[in-house]
Amino acid sequence: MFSGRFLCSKCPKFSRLLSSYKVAVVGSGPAGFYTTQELLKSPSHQFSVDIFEKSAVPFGLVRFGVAPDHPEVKNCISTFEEIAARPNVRFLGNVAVGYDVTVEELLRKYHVVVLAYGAGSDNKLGIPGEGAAGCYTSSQFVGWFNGVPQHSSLNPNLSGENVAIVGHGNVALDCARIIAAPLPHLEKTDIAEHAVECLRRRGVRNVNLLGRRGVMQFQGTIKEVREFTKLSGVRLSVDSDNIEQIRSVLPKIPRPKKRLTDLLLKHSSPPPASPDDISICIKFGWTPLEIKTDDKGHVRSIVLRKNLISGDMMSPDITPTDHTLEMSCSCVITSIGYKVLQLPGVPFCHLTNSIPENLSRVLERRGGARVPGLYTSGWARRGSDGVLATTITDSANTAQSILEDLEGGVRSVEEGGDVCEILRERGVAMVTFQKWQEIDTLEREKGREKGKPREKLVCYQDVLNER
Amino acid sequence: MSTGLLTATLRNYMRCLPLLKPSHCSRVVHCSSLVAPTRSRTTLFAPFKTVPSESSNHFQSMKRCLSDNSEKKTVKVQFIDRDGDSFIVDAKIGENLMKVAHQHDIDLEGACEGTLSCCTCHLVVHPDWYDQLGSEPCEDELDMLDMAYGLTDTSRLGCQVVVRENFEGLVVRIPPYEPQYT
Repeated sequence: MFSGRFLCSKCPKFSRLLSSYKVAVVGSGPAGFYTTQELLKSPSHQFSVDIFEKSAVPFGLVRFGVAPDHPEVKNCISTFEEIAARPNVRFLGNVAVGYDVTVEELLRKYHVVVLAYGAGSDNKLGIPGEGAAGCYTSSQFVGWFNGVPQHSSLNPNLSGENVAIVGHGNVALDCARIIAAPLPHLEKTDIAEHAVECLRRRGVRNVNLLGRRGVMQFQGTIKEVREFTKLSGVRLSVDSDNIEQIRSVLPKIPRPKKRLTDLLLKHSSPPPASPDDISICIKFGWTPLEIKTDDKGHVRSIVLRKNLISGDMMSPDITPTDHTLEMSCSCVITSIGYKVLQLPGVPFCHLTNSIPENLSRVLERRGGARVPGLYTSGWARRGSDGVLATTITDSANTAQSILEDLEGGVRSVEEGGDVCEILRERGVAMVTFQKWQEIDTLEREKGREKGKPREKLVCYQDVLNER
Repeated sequence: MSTGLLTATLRNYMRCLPLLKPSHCSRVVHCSSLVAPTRSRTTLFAPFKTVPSESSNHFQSMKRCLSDNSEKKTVKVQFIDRDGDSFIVDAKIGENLMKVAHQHDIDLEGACEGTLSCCTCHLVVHPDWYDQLGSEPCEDELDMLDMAYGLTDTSRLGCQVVVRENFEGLVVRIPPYEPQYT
């Protein structure tokens, strides 16, 4: 149904007259693929694009971030596959840019280098006890249920009754839903088998989602909240002060925030729970102070401080109070966003943890001169925020900056000399898209045996060695 | 719908003028994947051109032979893309607007492929037409639209609007990408 969508529809006849530009895209997640797609749509330029990926398998967070019970969100993969199948696009998996090949080398070989490598590191709370046994970051936990190889042996402690999740974003909601959802809801998804095994033995009765700020600062989206209201065996409740005050501003705010806030407030006085339900409670106005451990070093409780939320509810004053609460729990998941990592050879601002840029064009430092040919897109550009649609917009804007710059003149690059030759000389075992398709087929076959869309491999070595 | 928002919606539309109003829809320029799109700015008042396209008699009769009863009735629907370019296309009755756009190479995303799990096929329906679509967005569609940029009171997801017979002359706009902040 998509056939022809990527063809230049605006002036196909002129395309053969155009010169072709070489583009290196670092990262094969949505930002990488959508930026590629936007460039390929250009009626005035032709591109040949190499998409580099650190992992052996493509699609970044669509494979490793999107929750397994959201298979529809992963449908964008068919668009990505169509892009990767084009003759002027190559996928180069298992290549760590900055290590196997430097950004400087790429800039010498490609007219354009796009950094679309996402935000690869967890933000930390910076409180005592963080990192104790039973305390996990959201990338560890999400990676675990999504079959990320290095997190597949996490084996989180879900045997206790109480779990605390710090953070009020969609990732926190995903973690809570995977922990609380009835097993039939998960078993038919592409969730990692080791996660289902662990969830079968879960003893969790209460999941508390903790946020420092108020209801109107909630970061999750309405679909994810509403899902809790539709899951059987799960009871959603919302614990917040200022309810009447928030209600009074509702008529004045834009529709998206209004509908989300309305839904949250509706659950501030939920119907009584049935004894078998797992409780999901979204708590507002609590700052974690410390994670306490027992004598074996396992998480025992989390100490919270109550905040007073006052003033304008849209941008309230958050004042710490003396009131503290020790909440017993055997598992803590911190889900408070991600940091962009510095790639060797790429300018980086450590103050803001971001790549200095202006309209996607990378700068030597904030407010400084441009690095010609170097661009950034997606989470690597704007940090870990926004849904797929946001990344599509971002990619379109990055592509627009690139196209504008090409109009103004083209950098000269080294003629000939394929990057693959350098990588082979350095002993990098590249994974082609064809090889990925073999893995894909194998995963689907393994999944079919279990009635799942796929069973993700957590070790690709066997497949990669068959050459 | 508040008057202020409606005015804002109309103002957004003014940027894409001249528009084909529903009553003016007889002035159409055929457009299909075989033909370069026509810019409404220049073609609206240009003489009507007959262009060989899939909708020409030759193709129609050939297709009718090949696909016997599957041939469906169509209506003319106007899409205005992100650049403000106007496309008037034959939309099959019973097809959703996202598919219609894709069939005619109109640059509309559809990341979740019509499964009500994203907002990338967001369309702004002309205010004159919004109440004539024959359906209202369900709760799940509103939830998705709430994540879309350029949301208006007449926003819909293309995948959820099914073309009906009364759609002849319908005008929908693909909201332009929001500019980057720096």
